[in-house]
Amino acid sequence: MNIMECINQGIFYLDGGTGTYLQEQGLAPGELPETWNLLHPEKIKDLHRQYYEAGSHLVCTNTFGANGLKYDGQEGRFSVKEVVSAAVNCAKTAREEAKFGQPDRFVALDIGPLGKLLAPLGDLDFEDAVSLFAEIVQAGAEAGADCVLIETMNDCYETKAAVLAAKENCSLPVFVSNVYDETGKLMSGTTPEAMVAMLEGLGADVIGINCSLGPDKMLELLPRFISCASVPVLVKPNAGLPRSEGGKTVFDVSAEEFAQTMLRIAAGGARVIGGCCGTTPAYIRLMTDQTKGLPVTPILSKHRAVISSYTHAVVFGGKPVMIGERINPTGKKRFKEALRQKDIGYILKEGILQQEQGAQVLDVNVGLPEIDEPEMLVTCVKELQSVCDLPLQLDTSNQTAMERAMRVYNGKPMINSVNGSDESMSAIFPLVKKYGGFVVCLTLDGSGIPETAEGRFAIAERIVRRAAEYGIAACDLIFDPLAMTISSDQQAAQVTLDTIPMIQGRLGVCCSLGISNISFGLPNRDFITGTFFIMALVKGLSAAIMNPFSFEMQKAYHSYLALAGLDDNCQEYIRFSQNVPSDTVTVSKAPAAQNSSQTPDGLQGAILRGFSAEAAELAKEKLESTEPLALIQEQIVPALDIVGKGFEAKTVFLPQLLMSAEAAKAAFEEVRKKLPASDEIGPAVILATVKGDIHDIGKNIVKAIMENYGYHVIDLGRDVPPETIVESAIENQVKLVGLSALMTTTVPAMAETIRQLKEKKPDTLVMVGGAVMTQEYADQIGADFYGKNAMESVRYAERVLKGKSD
Amino acid sequence: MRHSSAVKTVFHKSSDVEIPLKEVGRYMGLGRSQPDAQLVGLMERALADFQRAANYTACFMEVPVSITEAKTDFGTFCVEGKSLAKHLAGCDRAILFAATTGIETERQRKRAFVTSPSLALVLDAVGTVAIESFCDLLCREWAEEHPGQTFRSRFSPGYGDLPLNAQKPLLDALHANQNAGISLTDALLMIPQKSVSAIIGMEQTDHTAEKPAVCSKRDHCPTCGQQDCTFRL
Repeated sequence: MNIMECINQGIFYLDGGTGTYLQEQGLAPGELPETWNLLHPEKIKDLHRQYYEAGSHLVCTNTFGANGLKYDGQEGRFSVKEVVSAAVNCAKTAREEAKFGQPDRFVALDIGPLGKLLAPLGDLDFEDAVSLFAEIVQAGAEAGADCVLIETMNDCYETKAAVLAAKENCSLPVFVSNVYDETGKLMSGTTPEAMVAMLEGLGADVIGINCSLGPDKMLELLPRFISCASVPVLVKPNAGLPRSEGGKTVFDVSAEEFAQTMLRIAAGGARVIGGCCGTTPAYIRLMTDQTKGLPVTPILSKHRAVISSYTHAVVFGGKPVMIGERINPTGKKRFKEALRQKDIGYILKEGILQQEQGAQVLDVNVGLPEIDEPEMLVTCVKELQSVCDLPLQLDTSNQTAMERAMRVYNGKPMINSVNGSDESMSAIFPLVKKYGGFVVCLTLDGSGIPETAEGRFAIAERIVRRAAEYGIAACDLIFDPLAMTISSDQQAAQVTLDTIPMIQGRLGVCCSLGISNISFGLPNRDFITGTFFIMALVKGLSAAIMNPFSFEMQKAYHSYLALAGLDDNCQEYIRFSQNVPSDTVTVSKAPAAQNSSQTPDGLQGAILRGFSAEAAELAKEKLESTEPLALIQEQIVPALDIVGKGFEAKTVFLPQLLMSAEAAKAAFEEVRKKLPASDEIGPAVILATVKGDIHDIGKNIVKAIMENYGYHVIDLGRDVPPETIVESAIENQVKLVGLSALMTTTVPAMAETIRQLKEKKPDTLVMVGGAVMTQEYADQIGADFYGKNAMESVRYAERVLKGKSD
Repeated sequence: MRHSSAVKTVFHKSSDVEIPLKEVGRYMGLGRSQPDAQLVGLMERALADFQRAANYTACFMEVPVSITEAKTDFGTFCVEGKSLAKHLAGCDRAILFAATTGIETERQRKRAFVTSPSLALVLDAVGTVAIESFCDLLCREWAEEHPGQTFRSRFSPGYGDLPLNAQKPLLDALHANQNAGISLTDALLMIPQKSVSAIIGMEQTDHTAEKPAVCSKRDHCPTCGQQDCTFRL
């Protein structure tokens, strides 16, 4: 009998804690527990044997922290392979010694977290994390473990790295257990529903919760897992909370109390149960006694049409889902320009603003023929996920870009798209099987778009069958019955509308539409699109890829929700209607600041006062009659100068300087719309926080101000290696590089960067700044200039790049 | 399974942590000047946003202290350094702790830099005040739980000659990654950035004292050598 068959038959028992036992046996504080697999194997075996005898079906190897960050095999330290294979052997021997000839006793390769945060918020690269986990999996599988147990994970992204490593390096069942806090979230903010969505997508065999909480709190959280998981649920609580008693750590839940609550947990639907910190073989014995023979119900598929981000899940088939379409270069000059210049900030802003307008999912399309789309899509996905918690819809026809983005995506993504052609399905479905995903299926194939609803339905049916061959359930598909413009065929809308109920009714799946197409070629398109949206919703549409900034679309959406009984007490409608007209920017035109009696009116005044929305409005008005470049020279630059001088004279403070910078930027955006795309506004400057430093506030401030003075700022981010800076300086022919460091410990990295720049691109000037920097330091490390604040940096750039005097 | 000794984790609601706007202004570089109404508005908004995102978490453990010359032994790990040894002289126990405002405040600041750098700047200042204020709150609570003990001021890796790499054994002993979601970069910086790790020495003083004694964070400005510091008062 294999392990999954065993779980299907009844309650399946795990083991309990290890830490307390090892401390009793003499594990010194600070000593690495996994070394005992080699140094004191008899003690490890003894503990395993006790758990088998207490009734555990599955015992976890003593490999919780056995990763390459701690066990590198250098300087007399053990390697991962050594500690892991010794650990598996300890467990296997214990199983024999426990005289369990029965085939229902197993060994789990235990994998704990690496203890580092993944990029972009942390500094461990996702693929490096996968490799570290892969090393453990390979060693464990080779040594003969029966399954992999990834446990005590408190970060969604790291969990994904571990599961991928397990799936790619062995064919053993994979159990995954996370740490939730009392509010039911991981440290990364992830809910059980989101974890289940991602983990089932990745093919985890058992999903659950361990550590941190006692059994009572886990009992409270359990229903959330049971209601959404289609696989067995694992529960492994602590023996309550720890406290010190006479120099020893004790836990506040007794074995009896523990066993009683575990009985309720098993009765509540958990199929795989055990104990975590503070539990001992005595706890496990009582738990197995209490729950033995408890009848179990079969675990059924929940057929959830769901996607997730690193915080939450979005379910399809209930309230219609608004998918923001704005991250897409099609027909957008400014967006294309941002892509070419790798201006990620612009793209992120499009995402954040759509979220503020109520989008629940963001479509991400960054395809342009002249850019490296796979690289750009991966960067955008990672960066978007560091500032925005919405699930993403990966939108690309580039196979490599799709695979790489699905791999690094933190959660279960929406995939846009597959169609009924063999080529498309055989490219996308294997990726979905591996990484998980919810797939938009276009009802077209190699011979085009069928003109009838029946024709489109037939393709949908074929896609469902084909997906099943790959092991992808119909609930992971959402169908797009294709909105075609009515300007060329007046029956187009009707065909689409007829297809929706046909697909939904007969196949039991959801439908989504890229809705804007319907009005292509017509004036005031939003009138048509908005009305069509309502008609499609009435037919049962579950989601639409749409423009969240369109007032007509928002009106249609909120009115529909209220009318369809999907808006409790019409609350959302009321909130929406009170904020009409919904503008994209909502900066209040507050009364002018106290000392502003002398500030001029108009655009200059708006910039001086830092009113972004007003500055953009006024710039737009002025551009009707003023040349773009004249507006910059006559209005924007003088205003910035006033603010800059005020800052230097200490009458204007940094936040105000930045507020003015934002207002000027808003005005600039209007100007850019009038300029040809090829017009470079100013010279390029590289800004970066040096290797080892993660503080980017100073660098970001300098960036905001420099952009205002018309520089094309290439922002390389934080923790940037010297080589990257040199490469970028050479590639972009940059004359001035600005480096920032906050910590004394990172000044050497700054020195090294300057050394490499001067060696490989001697004509580069380097300006430095940051909290620890002084003129003396700057001289020592060979910097050309030390900028004490953002304005000094700008002044220096003006001198050396534009030949201006102060 | 994690190998924990008696490390405890505590959470606090945002409403427990006071963030005086005056202090925020100081970290924004306002010195003693009064912010105008517009700036106050921005500060109030940042404060409210920050408190919504914050997830005040700390983990701590009480350990014995034994000092031999320039070496301090906490039972679970040892550190070298004269300044800490001097700072803890006379203490027989210490509290080791790590505290943070949570990962969402990190994302929030990053998000603000995209949409509004001025808001990001203010959020950063709010975060600096918030984490200090949270630590003060923790210290007051611990002091109340330890009547008759005098608490020394917080001492962190990087102070004096206590090297920054003392972060590693300190955070490891606290299982700070598991317990509070604080991790270290290769360059030994904490993420989330608005985190503090520190050692607080406890000295047995007067068992009959009614009020707990806390050495609060001293105002270093008058004694500090950095004359041109933006935050100098």
